[in-house]
Formats: sequence, structure tokens, C-alpha cells
Amino acid sequence: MDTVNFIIDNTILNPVVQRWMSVLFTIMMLSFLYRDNPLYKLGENTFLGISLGFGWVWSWNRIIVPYLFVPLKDSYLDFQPYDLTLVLWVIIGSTMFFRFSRNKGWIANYWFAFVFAYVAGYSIPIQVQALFIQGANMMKPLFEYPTFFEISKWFVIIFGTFAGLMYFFFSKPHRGLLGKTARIGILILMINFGASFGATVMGRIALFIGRAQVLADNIVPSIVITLSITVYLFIYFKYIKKEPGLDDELMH
Amino acid sequence: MKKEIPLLIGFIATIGWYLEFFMAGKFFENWKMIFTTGFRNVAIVGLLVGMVNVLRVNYKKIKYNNDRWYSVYQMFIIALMVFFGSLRGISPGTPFDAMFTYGFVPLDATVFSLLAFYVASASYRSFKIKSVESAFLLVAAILIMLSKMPLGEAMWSKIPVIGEWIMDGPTSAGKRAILFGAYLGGLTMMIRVAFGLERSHLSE
Amino acid sequence: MEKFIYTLKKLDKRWIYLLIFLSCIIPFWFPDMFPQEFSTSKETQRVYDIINGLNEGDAIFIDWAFDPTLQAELLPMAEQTIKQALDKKIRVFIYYPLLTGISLGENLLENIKKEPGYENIENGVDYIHLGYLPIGVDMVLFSMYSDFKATFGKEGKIFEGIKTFGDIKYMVSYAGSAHPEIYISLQPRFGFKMGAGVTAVVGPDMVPYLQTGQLDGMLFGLKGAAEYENLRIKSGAEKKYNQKANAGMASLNLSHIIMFLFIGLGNLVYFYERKYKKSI
Repeated sequence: MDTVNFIIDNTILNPVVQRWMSVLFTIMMLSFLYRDNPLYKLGENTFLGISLGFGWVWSWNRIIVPYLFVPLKDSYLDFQPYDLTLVLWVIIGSTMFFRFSRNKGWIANYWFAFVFAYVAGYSIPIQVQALFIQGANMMKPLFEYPTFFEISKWFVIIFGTFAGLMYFFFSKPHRGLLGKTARIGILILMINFGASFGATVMGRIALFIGRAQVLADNIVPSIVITLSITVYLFIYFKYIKKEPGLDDELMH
Repeated sequence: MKKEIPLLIGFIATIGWYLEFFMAGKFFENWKMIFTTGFRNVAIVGLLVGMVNVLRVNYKKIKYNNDRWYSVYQMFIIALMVFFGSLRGISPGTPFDAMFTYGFVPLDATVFSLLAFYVASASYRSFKIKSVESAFLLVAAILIMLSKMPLGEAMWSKIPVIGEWIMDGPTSAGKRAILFGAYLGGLTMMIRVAFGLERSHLSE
Repeated sequence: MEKFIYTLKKLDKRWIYLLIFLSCIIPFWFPDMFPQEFSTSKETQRVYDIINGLNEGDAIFIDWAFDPTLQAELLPMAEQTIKQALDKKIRVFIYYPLLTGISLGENLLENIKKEPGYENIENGVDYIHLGYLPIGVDMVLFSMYSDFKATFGKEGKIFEGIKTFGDIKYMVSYAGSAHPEIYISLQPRFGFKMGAGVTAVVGPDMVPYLQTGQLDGMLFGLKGAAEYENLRIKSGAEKKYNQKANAGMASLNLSHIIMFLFIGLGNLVYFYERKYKKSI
């Protein structure tokens, strides 16, 4: 056991190893940009393994044991009538195992029907409320700051929303006044999609900036690992796997 | 038995909520609490189901798949995590947490950040002014990007104001038009579930 | 000219990848490449003012709905709001709707404790991790309105005077998806006050809620986080520990210049081809 503790303290808990690890994994995944390769696959499976292992251990320690096993044990040691509900819930939950079976799958239907209807039940009034709030409060800031800038915005919102809805109105052919409104509607929707696209580009690049910061902060490991992975990729694609893969055409 | 009773249960559950909305009171408070703990307990059993499923999928892969060594490796990593977790616990500073912070975090964040590169190359290939609509799209996108980066403001102090106008005016109008449609669609869907017309969540 | 257009048209995508990569990484070594000053948007100012206006002993609720994928944008925001609350002796409840977010939050608080001025904060007194529950956020919210403490099964001095979620003064939801909309849809029923910190991707989707007053304040993307950091630095926080988002601003500028360049070149190819009515 001492040996195991010694190994753990000097590998995974060592700050130098930790720095190299995070840089190594970052560049391993980035190597996918060049082409799909075994290093990327290795990283992918490490990722899946850690996330599953993390989920298992975490939910075992902090969810399954405190919320299920401890109450079950307590009810076994000191039985109260209320504890029957717990047993009942566990039995209901166990019906989900029948989803694995092909002809006994309907047993799980009882639970799924209840859950879906439970969510649907509270959603119906809430959806109606949300619709009215969005509709009624559209003009709110206009009365708070009545400047020209704000008023121009709210004109666009009122007519833009109407025009956008008219574009989705398919019960009548888009000709005449309806056609013109729908045309404005599609321009409004295009501006909306453009803004969303611009924001998406920003968001995605910001994610990479987070990784770039890690690489820039650990400059020595970054350079060493980048060079060695480049050499590896060169050798792999030059001598080991010569034919181009199918995914090259799809991904690049 | 296989479908009719579940649908009846569903109908009663929906009506129960509907009544609750109009006469919220103490009885309903307790009723909700019972169901919340119930949902939690059932979901815990669901977690166990999920664990069994992971083992099942990996067993099949190891038995039949060509890439079986990757699955073996994945199971090894899971076992390592379980070992670390049982050895020293799971709070910050333990080997379990170090595996997460220096293994999972870079892997997860980098996989997602690959999208940045694909977005860049996609906009180079296909972000072209082919019609009036696409011109609107492109101009709005560029103005929003300029208004949300510090350089845009340094170039011209009015850029954030323009960005705000686009965001508050046309963008929110377009979004709202979509939102109204989504609310009505969601409402229809929920009513279908309540009356048992929607059955896709039930198995045969 | 034709040769140039031909090269552009047949350009291997990996050159674009390389340029984006370099444009993100180089500014970290030359941070003074671009001007650093920028104004604060009114949504960001709103979140700051609300938390600043709370009294000592009030409570805020942080909804930590992100995992390491989105930490570049959302972690600096969450860090700043939590630090601001801790400065003002406001109690912080952190709830994690995603399992993989928990370690991120626990490590953040451990790191904050190492900074000067935060050595004495204690788990269970000044802040608490409420953990993850395997049920939907809507169910958790219903349960929190029945009994706040029993929902999570945790104990501590921090729960004093907090019977239901209604006793919490403000909540901020950090997410990179439509997740805050669940809270927004239940808001008319319970009437809590909430703000959001979102990635740039979902930012435009949240604007309608901001206009109707359902969202009270919003932090938008990396720039929102940087604005928040500047607000805190202005009111006396130390710059050394509060510039995670600001450090990325120069990269944001340069990488977008490269993006504009590529969009421009793509259009150049398109118009050249259309003008001469031929495909190269």
C-alpha cells in the first residue's frame, strides 16, 4: 500500500506532471484537426473513461448511498409506516429495468406515462402565462426611457414580430399585402440568424481562447509536446498508414 | 393493460396539476414534496440502470468490435477512477479530483473548442453575399461581432450602440416571432400528452 | 490575379486552422497589442448593481449549469459574482444541475480561499455546495419552494432564516444552453428575481426576456465577464487575481480580425467568379 501511495503522490498529485498532463491532452485532441489518428482516439477513450468513472463514483458516494442505501438501512433497523413509500418508489423505479426487455417493455409504461403527464400538467398553465407575458410586456422599456433611440427600437419590435409571424402563416398564399409583410418578416428573421451566427462564432472562439491560455501559460511543455506529436503524425501518415481514410473527405 | 391504464394515469396526473394551479394550498404542498422525493428515488434507480447499460455496451463492443482495445482501455480508466475514488475520497486535492481537473477538463474543453476551427472554415466557404437576405445576415453578424469585441469600440465609439440596437430591435423581434410559435407548439404537445393522443414515449 | 483566386479557392482548410490557432495564442505573449479600454453594457451593470445593493446576511443562489466545455466563458463570471458576494458577506448557495460541473465549482472555491482576503471563508457558513440531484431543475424548484433545506439534505449555519426559495434575494443562472428558460418559465408562478450569465452563443436568445423584465441583468459571453472584472477592479479588487477574462480580450480581437479577413476573401472569390461568369 505504501508503494501505491508513493506512486500516486509522485505522479498524479505532482504539479509538474499535472501541468504536462493538461497540455498533452489538449494537443492530443487538437491533432484531430490535422487528421483522425490513434492519438485522438486514445484521448477520446480517456475522456469517456474519466467521465463515466467520475459519474459512477460521484453518484455512488453522494447520491446513491446517502439518498437510497442509508434510508433503506434506517428503515430496516427502525421501521416506520412512512418507510413503505420508499420501498414503493424503489419498486416503481425498478420497472425501468424492463426497458431492456423486448416483450416486457410495457411494464415501464406506467412510470413513463406518469412522468410525462406530470411535466405536461404543470407546463400547460405555465406556457399560457409565458405567452401572455412575452406579448404584454414587449413595450415595457418604452415607457421607462422614452427617447428616440428606444422608440425606434420598439417600433421595429412590434412590426418585426408581427411580420415574422406572418412569414410563418401558411393558410393563405404569400401575395399582395401579406406577401410584402412576409418579405419584411424574412429580412427580420435573417438579421436574427445573422446575430445568432455572429454570436456563435464569438462563443466558439472564446472556448478555444480558454485552451490557448493554458498552452500559452505552459510554454515549455507546449513546445515539446507539439513537436513530438508533429513528428509522430508525420511518421504515422508517411510510413504506417499510407492510404487516405474516408473521414478525410468528410471532415476537411 | 399495456397502454390504456398508463394513459389514464397520465390524464389524472395532468388534471391534478390543473386543479393545483387554481387552488394552491397546504394539501398540494405536501403532495408535491412526496412526488419530488419520489422522483429523486426513482431517478437513483435510473442511475443504476445507466451503470448496467454502460457495462452491457462495452461488453458487446469488446466481444464483437474490431476496435476492442479502445473499449478495454476505457474500462481500465473507469476502474482506475473507481480505485482512486475508493482510496482517498473525492474532494478537491485527491487523485480522483486531479484526474478530473487535469484529465477530463482539458479533454472536454478541447473537444468543444474544435468547433471554433470548423466555424472559421465554414464561414470562409459559405458565408457569401448571394442575395439581399444573405447580405442582411452577413452585415448583422459582422456588426454584432464588432460590437462585442473591444476593438470595435476603439475603432468607433458608436459601434456598441449600433450593436445594441440590432440586438434589441430586429434580433429580438425575430426571436420573439419564433418564441411565440414555440410556445404554441409546446402547448399543443402538452395537451396531446395529457389526453393520450401522443404515445411516442410509451413502448409497445 | 487569376492565380491568386485559384490558390484561395483550393486553399487547404488546415491553413485556416493554423491561422486561427496562432491568432488565439500569440496575443497572450503580447497583451498590449490592442487597446484595453471598453465601456460596460447596461445588462452587466445591472447584475453588478443588484448584488452590490444587497445587505450583509442576504443570500444569493448560483445555478452552475455548465461543465468544463464552457468554462472559458462562464467560469470567470461565476468567480466574480461569488467573490463579490463573499466580499459583502452575502451567503452563497451553489447548485449544480450538471454532474460534471461540481468539481469545477469545488476547485474554484478552494482556489478563492488561497487568495488574500478570503482565507476565513468557510463551507457551510459563508457558502455551500448544494450538489447535484438526479431530477429536473423544475422539480428541484418546486421542492425548494416547499422546503429549501430538506430538498438537498444538507446541514449548516448558512441555512439560518432560509425556509423556502422565496427567502433568497437574487439568483444567477450560468448556462450555455436554453437552461435559464426553465427558471424563466416558472418565474410568473413564484416571482423570484433572476439574472443570467450566458455564453455568446445563447446571448441573442435571452434578449426578449431581458426586455420584458423577466431577466434582471445578463452577462454576455467573454466580454461580459471582462466588463464585470473591470467593475470589480474599479471598486477596489486586486487586478492580479481578477483578470482571467481580460487576459483573453486581445486574442478575441486578433482572431476576429482573421475571421473577417477570411470572410472577405471568401466573398472576393465568389464575386470574381460571378463577374467573369466562370468557375475556376
